[in-house]
Amino acid sequence: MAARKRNKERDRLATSLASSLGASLPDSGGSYEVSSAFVLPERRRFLGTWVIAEHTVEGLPYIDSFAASILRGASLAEPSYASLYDFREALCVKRVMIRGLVELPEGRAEFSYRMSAAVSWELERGFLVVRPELAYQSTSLDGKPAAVKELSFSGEPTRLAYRFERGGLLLEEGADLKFLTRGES
Amino acid sequence: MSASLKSLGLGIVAVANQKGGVGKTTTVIQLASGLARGGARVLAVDGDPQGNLSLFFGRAEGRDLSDLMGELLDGRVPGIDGYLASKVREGLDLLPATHRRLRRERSDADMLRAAPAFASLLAGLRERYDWILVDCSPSNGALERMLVRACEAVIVPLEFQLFSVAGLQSMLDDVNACTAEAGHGIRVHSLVFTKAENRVARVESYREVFSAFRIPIFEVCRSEYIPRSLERSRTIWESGPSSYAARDYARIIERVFLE
Repeated sequence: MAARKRNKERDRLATSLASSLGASLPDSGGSYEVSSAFVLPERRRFLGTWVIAEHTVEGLPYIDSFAASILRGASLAEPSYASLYDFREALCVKRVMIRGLVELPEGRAEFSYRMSAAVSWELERGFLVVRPELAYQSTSLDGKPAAVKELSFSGEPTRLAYRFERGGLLLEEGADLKFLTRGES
Repeated sequence: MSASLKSLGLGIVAVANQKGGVGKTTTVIQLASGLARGGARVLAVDGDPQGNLSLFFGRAEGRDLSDLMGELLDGRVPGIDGYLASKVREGLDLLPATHRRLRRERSDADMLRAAPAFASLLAGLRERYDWILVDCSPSNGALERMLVRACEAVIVPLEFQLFSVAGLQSMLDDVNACTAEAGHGIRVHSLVFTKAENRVARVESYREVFSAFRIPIFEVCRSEYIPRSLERSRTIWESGPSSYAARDYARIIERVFLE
């Protein structure tokens, strides 16, 4: 029991020491690569369902940039945002749902947005590389469909830096930062 | 993505950590021989008076680094060929360490006095070799300072262990001090966790912490091939080229050196 406690304390000390190294190590844009012997286990860490806990773009809540792009600047009152990632061996299914109240010339309306995408995914040099296979989005106003469309892709994969931290998964694509936690499908 | 040593134009590389047993010599053996197998001209410098790198390549006697330092201290600029073990592998030469008493034979003051001439000598060899890899001993004395000052970049092998991680901070401080003494930049280019294991809580904690750093960090898995191949003086490319450890070293060669 005492030995286990000592080991725990030693590990805590080592982790704390390692954390303090950050200021001394140069920032050369490198990343962490696990041994090729453990790549499969690394991939396994992704499997299952994750939900968005935090999502920012350039430090601001994602919902703000969403309103700027999809609603062309109209504000979204009382917004709710949920996003789910279901990682399977070959594919990851992503679902996004955003709701809120939008001001229109004819008055306030309930707005909802849904997006579903199936992407193939790989781990490569410390990056999560995703290739969209199929995706569509739909919007509705006051419960009535406003637009449905299949999304087109450039064919280029998207590379997201990732790391597991705070018991969750951090995904980074430029200024877009997502922190996912384990969820139920 | 970070820049490789090749793209940065850095060719003299110390493999250093003042902590012992972290895999410095093993790393030099595999990287130097791997680079040479790929067609590069490589010089491995055994900077550890224990001489394990030299023993591995079958050079236990003869003129060595200590003799070379003697010449440098006498103000001579020796021809390097008389000190080298040539072609310890195709494309790979070795500057050995066969005098285990090097630290007794050469004082700290001697080593620091020899440092500029030694650095000039290695810099002059860059025309002859694509890569010069320096195996440093597990200490932070004058010998190691002389060796690191002669280098342009440092690769730090370490283990998932408290002492190893604690030593890293001192290592970084030493490299900064060497940079100031040398008057040229010495870049800590990458870290290599050797003997990596999986499914160990401690390892997971380290991975989580180190993943946040933006420096190339690699793992080489613990492999039975490595001690077995070292016993037989065979590189991982000769004894287990398809092993995970070989793949890990191949990836380091590609990413750190060649990309």
